[in-house]
Amino acid sequence: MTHRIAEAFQKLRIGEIEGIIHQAMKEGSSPYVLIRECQDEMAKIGKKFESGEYFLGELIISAKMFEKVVQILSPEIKKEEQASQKTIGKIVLGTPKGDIHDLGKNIFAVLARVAGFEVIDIGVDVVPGRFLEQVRIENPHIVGMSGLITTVYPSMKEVVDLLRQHGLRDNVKIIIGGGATGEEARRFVGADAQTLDAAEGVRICETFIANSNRGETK
Amino acid sequence: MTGIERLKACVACKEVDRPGILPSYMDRFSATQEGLTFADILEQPDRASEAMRKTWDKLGSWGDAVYYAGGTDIYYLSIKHLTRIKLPGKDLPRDSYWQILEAPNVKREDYDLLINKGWNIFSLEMLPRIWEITDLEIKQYGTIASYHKAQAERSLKQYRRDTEFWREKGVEVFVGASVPSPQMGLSCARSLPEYTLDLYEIPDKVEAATWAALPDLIQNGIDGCKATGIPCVAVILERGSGAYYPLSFFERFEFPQLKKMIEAFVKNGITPLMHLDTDWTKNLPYFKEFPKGKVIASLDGTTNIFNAKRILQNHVCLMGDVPASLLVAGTPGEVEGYVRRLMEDVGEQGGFILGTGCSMPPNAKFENVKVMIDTCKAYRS
Repeated sequence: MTHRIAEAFQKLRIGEIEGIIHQAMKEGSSPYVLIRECQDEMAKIGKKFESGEYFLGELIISAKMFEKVVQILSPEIKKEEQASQKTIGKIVLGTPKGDIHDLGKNIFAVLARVAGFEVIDIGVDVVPGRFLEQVRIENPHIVGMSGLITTVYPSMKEVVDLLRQHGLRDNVKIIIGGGATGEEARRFVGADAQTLDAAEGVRICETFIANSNRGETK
Repeated sequence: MTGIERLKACVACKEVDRPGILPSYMDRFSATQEGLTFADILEQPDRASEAMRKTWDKLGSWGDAVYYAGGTDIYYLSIKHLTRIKLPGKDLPRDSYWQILEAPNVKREDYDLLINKGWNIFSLEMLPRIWEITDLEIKQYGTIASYHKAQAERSLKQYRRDTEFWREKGVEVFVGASVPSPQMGLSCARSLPEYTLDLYEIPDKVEAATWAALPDLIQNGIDGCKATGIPCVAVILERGSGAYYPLSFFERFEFPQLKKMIEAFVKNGITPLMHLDTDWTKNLPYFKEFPKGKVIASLDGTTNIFNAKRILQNHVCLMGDVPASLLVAGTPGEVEGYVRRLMEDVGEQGGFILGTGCSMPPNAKFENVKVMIDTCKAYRS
């Protein structure tokens, strides 16, 4: 079955992936093993994207394939199995108030999950207070904010300021991303990093974790 | 040398006294400067264009011509790309920026209609999914088609009036019409994820649809320029770049159609201004197949414009690309430094127009915009 999953991802056969997973389940494959295999394939695609061999379109297709797999397998994976999965870090992710764009955010979320992060996606047009609330509840390593328009910068800054006011800024690394962001925006917002590229964003998050002294989350 | 003569010389990639200056989509920045909300400028186009003229004066002019004559025409923007837009004052607070909804307004089964009937008839069929019309409006105009005809006439009338206002000030308007490439139009109408799936799952149908859309889109650009009397068409591109898809896709779904479009515009005496959002670096060598000295490639700051100059070597006039982030959150010194670098590295031997990366951000700092313009105006003086 492994080779069929690998082939489907490598050739981006989105129409086949659900059938392959259902067949594997019928044949007794462990949902946990299947999802790991799909994660491995996604990781390969992510690497090909970073090397320039693959393009955004291929990331979009493979992310959709992975979402389909997760939809099928999530109910099958026992809660305790999910709980026992080790993650390399936790990210609270959202598009702050004033912006409803989510394409880049969603691609980043998939790649980050494949890389082993637990991603708490709190959606789009999110008020700064909700970021604060989620940081309090989830105690993440990283806060990720996405935006496509420059009018979202003040909301991003408000999130950072709120975290600082509540003594939480030093507990997290903050990364911003999206078409209208740049180094000047990072500086204005008070974030630790900025990227235009979802895959690069994940690498930056991995570096944050590697340099962190908080250790594994679970 | 007048501003418009300078811009024409830049398009022709001739050496000029200084690079042309043509920042794009100045209505949002002007609205912010004049204390108008985004809802105000959509609802009251005369106030939007008045704000633009006031801001022009405050900056001591912002260039060699005005990119678009007036404020954003949200109707035109929406129907041109078959996208739904969340509107300030209706769906959003009045001071919120309008936002394009990335949603599949056109379904996969609709491709056949496009292939059989062309872009314009197809668009008209799709419009009820894009633009809501109240019962009262239908009663007022008789039919849905009559409503849309009246809206198109209103848009044109407004644009002509705004153009006249500028001419009274002695300022020319540069862009007379705007069309998406077939691929851009389809991707917006289907949404990026769904269109991408189509490319992989039904490529033959998508290719047929791009060719079927092409004649009407070309004609719309030509007719638009004739109607406004301004011989420049903005060709909106984003979704076909090498950031999204491999070159094999570009060679099949974007470039051959775009080339025909560009050639048709040039043949009709129209300057195509390619609005190239996202990173087109991998696609740039293909642009050497366009007629030399007739086309503008407007870059948004994602494509490396310095590299683009080396690749295109004055075959195509480059425009751009002061980044939005720099204009909003940078310092005047940083803006001046970037503009100087653009002028020296990209503009030294002609073939360059200073502009903004994509559009002028509504919340750009006034002093940054001023230094951007003034640095270029003072070049070599």
